[in-house]
Amino acid sequence: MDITVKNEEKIYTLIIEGRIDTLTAPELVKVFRENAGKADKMIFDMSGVDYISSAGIRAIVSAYKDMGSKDGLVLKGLRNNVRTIIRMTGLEKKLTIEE
Amino acid sequence: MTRNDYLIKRKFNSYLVPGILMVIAMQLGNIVDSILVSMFIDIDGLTAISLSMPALCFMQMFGFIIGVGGSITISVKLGKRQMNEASGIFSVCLISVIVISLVFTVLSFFITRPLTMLLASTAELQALLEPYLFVFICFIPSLNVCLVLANIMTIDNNPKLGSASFVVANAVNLILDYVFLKYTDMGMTGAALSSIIGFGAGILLVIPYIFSKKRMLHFSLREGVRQIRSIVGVFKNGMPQAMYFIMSILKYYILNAFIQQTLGADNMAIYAVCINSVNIVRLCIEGVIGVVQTIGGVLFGEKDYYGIRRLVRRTVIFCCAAVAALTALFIICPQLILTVFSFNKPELYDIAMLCVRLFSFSFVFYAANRIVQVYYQTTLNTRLSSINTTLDGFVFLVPISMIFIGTMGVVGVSVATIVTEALSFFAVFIYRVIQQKRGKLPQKGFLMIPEKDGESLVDITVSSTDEQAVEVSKQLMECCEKEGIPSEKATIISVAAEELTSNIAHYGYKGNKPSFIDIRLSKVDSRLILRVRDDGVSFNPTEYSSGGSDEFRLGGIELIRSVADRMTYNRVLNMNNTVIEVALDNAE
Repeated sequence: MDITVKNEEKIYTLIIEGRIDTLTAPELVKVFRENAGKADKMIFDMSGVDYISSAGIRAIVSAYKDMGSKDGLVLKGLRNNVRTIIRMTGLEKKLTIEE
Repeated sequence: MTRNDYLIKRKFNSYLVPGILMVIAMQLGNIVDSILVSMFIDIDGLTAISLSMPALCFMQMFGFIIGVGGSITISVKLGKRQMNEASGIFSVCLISVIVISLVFTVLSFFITRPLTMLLASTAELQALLEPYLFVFICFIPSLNVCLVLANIMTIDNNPKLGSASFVVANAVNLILDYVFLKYTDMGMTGAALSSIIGFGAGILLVIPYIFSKKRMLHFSLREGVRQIRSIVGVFKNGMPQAMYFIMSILKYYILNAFIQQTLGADNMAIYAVCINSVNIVRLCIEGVIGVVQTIGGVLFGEKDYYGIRRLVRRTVIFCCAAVAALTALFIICPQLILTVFSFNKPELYDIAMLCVRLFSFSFVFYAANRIVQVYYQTTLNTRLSSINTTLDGFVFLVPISMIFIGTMGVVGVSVATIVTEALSFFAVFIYRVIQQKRGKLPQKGFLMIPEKDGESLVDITVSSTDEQAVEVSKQLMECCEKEGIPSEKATIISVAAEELTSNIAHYGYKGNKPSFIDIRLSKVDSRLILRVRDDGVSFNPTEYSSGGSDEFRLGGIELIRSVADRMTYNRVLNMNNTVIEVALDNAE
């Protein structure tokens, strides 16, 4: 998994590519926490994510709670298979998801 | 990533010792029992027990048929994860053996006398035989119920308890034999009573199993009624046992009489040594072969053909080693064997040693035939198993023995046994090959199972680590992509596999001891079926709850339950089997 961080006026975008699984999810949490304190809003650009496991879901939920509001974390560019998993966990209703 | 036989090997080893103990308990029980009766009553007491064998074999036959046939039928159902049917068959087996045995109990008041007259020719022997027969037949439910429960418990994750019930039954029998025969004047009644009370004690030991919440099989009258017709299948699967008993009864009658008439009583002793030598071989290999029956049935039901191959291979290796050691012992030290059986006829010592040495060459074919019988019985090719049992136990044995003993004298006993065992093996071999060429039997080769089950997409074994859990999910994604399976479905299956594997890695083994996990993905009727199997601590994911009140379904296991169409679990052979199903026809 590769993560690139972009900052445009305190709106941080993590461009994630590859798999978010048991081994890589901790890296996502780490990168998120390094930047979350400085961000008003966090966007996970997941158009390059082709797989997400339950560890990845837990990482996203942890980020959502840390941001403290519904619009604080945005998921963007979800592929169908990743979106299916997110929907089935009940996350789709809680998070802001952009195409 | 490939499949390995780590779990099968572990199962083989864990079932081996209880299996061997069960056989030792039965064999040693018989031997010591005979010695005690001959010591405290007299040699006529032992003769009376021998004379009772045809009748007792017949009564016990039903316990063996239902016990072995039932455990095979149930293990195949467990392998197919048809839990209710398996419990139904268990209930039918238990009810049937009780009903059949109680019929004998009632009949014991009417048939004991005529049976005694039929089996014993002199008034002295009849006086010894009648009370023995009466007690045995009257209380036969105790023995038969113990036989059925011990067999079925073994496949229901309780191999140690199964063998312990036999060990206890035989130990109590021997202790009571000693007490009754030495300190009371019960005589033959005491000898029979001790056996019956022994098996009663065996049943008592089973009580923890009956009340155990962990068992897979449950007694249910309703399911039993539903599965009432399955008793036909149970008897069919237990048919080789029936054939074995019937053949034994006939064989002992005919050959004993023939040898006594043609060779005389002294040579009969050499015959007895040879025939009883088979018990030593049995002692060494039956426990191993019994493992095929226990584990093989479940693997066959699961269509785990790789597992069956490895299981049979391991069994053959064990048997070869045991037979080689025994044959060497018989060839090098025949005098030791003669001493063990208290052979005390110096004038026949040389010929007896020759007979024992020759006889040991039959062991390899004896073991081969036993593997054939048990393997084909377990994989539901009952006809082949029965043919082998019939040829080996009677059809070939009796005429060949008569010919060889008639022409060669007592040496003919050994030669006839070698020829019979070898011919029986090759006759079934040729019959199988012909039937396979005609298309009446499945697949080529001895095992008659396909290389792959035709449904598996992935069949691998991984070590229980997070790294391997991730590798599994990658391999499943790749495989599904190749098969053209929609990525949503592939992801669900891969997430489930990763989560289950990771969960086993973290919680499955005490002290995080590394182990292996079998993972199989198959496609059956537009459904993806993922089976994850491990032998760690018992864990039922269908009943698991992380207990959190989080608004999200965060727990990995709960996530799998919400994304999969179906999740089932069973614990068979002390292994967790979790099955995840995802339907393909509602793909988005």
